[in-house]
Amino acid sequence: MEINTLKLCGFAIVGAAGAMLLREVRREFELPVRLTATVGLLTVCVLMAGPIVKYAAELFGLSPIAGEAATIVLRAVGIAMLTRLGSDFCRDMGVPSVAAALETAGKIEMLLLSLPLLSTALDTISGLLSQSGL
Amino acid sequence: MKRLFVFILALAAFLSFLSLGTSASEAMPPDYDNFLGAIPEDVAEVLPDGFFSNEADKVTSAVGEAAGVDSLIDIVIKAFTGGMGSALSLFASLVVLLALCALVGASGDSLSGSLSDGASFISSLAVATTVVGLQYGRFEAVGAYFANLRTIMTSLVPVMSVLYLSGGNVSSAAITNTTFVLCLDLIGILVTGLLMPAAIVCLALAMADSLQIGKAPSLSGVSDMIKKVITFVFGLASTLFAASMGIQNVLAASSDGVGARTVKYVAGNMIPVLGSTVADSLRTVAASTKLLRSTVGVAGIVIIAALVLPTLVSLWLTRLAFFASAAVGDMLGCSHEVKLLRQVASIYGYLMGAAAMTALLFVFALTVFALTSSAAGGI
Repeated sequence: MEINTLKLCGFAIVGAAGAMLLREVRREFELPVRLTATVGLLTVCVLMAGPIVKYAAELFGLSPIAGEAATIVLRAVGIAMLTRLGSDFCRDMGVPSVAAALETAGKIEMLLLSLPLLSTALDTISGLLSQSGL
Repeated sequence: MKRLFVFILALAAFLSFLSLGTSASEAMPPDYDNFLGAIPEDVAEVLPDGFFSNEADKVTSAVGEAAGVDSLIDIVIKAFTGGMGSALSLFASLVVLLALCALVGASGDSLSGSLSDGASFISSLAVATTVVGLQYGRFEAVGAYFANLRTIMTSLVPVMSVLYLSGGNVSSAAITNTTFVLCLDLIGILVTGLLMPAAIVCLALAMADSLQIGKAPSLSGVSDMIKKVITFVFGLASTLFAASMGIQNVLAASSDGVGARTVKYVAGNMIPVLGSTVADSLRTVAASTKLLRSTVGVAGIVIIAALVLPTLVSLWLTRLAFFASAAVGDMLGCSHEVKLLRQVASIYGYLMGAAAMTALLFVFALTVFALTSSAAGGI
């Protein structure tokens, strides 16, 4: 799949200009246009990241221990980016309280995601301590 | 690397010096079998077959062969080839994770502050979990090394006592027995009660330190203090034992020599006709006992070398993998993770120091044992 920056910029500018024009002419169509442009760009991002994720999975396959941890990190990055996107959208619509709540939810989800890692690390340390007789 | 090289050279010099001119044709002491039984299988594999014979001349030539520099180099090469794979795999795993951390750091600009903090916390936690998870096998190997060292030295104490006694060194036998048992007990306590727990606590502190976000105080000062205390205690214990063993052995050998000379004088002058023959026989017995003692002493040193060299090489390779990963992390700008990797590498440095220090202490004790003159013959 070949996507170049020029096309992406063009799509983004057209989307933004369309939304700006519609704000003046037909205000009720502004939001769907902005949403379409954002979702379109996001889909392109996901398609572009495909080969990177595939390559990373190959790398992680070489080391099972690192692979498990790396998968969690990738998911955390994904959660952070989506949350940021969603909260920005909410702020654009003039509802910052929803944006803040979404960011809090994102942070809690990341925290939940990190719990297995944290418990593995703590289990290992307590295992090492009991192995040494403490 | 320099310290490891100097250590190997010192060990080689000890062995070549002690392995000079040994040949005999008699049976080994009765407790020698127990000593052979205590040798771990992986160490036994690298020893020549004659090492396990009960005939002194075969054992002596096998010990001479095993004490050669080429056999030591062989052990080091085998340890390098064996440990290289796991060190490279550790390095690869850490580099993959560090690359991911760098990616998280780079995408941090496009995230809001708190979300970026959360993502970098998870990436630091991923590196910490991987690093901590990999320590199980490695710490277990270090613990097994100390346990094997203690088992071997414990099995060697009766052999040493018998050989001291048969050479007329009664005081040396008593001193060696007492000092060695005390030394082994203390090393056991220091390793299980101080060294390994301290290493684990330092690992936990390093992990906690790397997970701190914001301006929390660094915990590296606490782990530095713990490491300094370990080095001081191990250094002090080794110096005290080495000094006490050396001084006591010199005094005991002199006292045993005076006693044996009195016996010889009495035998030579009080027993008519046979008196001088008895004195000559004592000299012959002393010579063969001295030979057996050198053989057993060098055999003990060879076993210690075969035990400590792979452990040191493996620890050094692991340390190198952590330092190399830290250098990569520096280039990628992962400061939290680099701190963790450097602290873990320094823990390995202290483990290496403790392993080398204990091995050298026993090598010194066995050298004193092999070189102490037989009181019966004044040899």
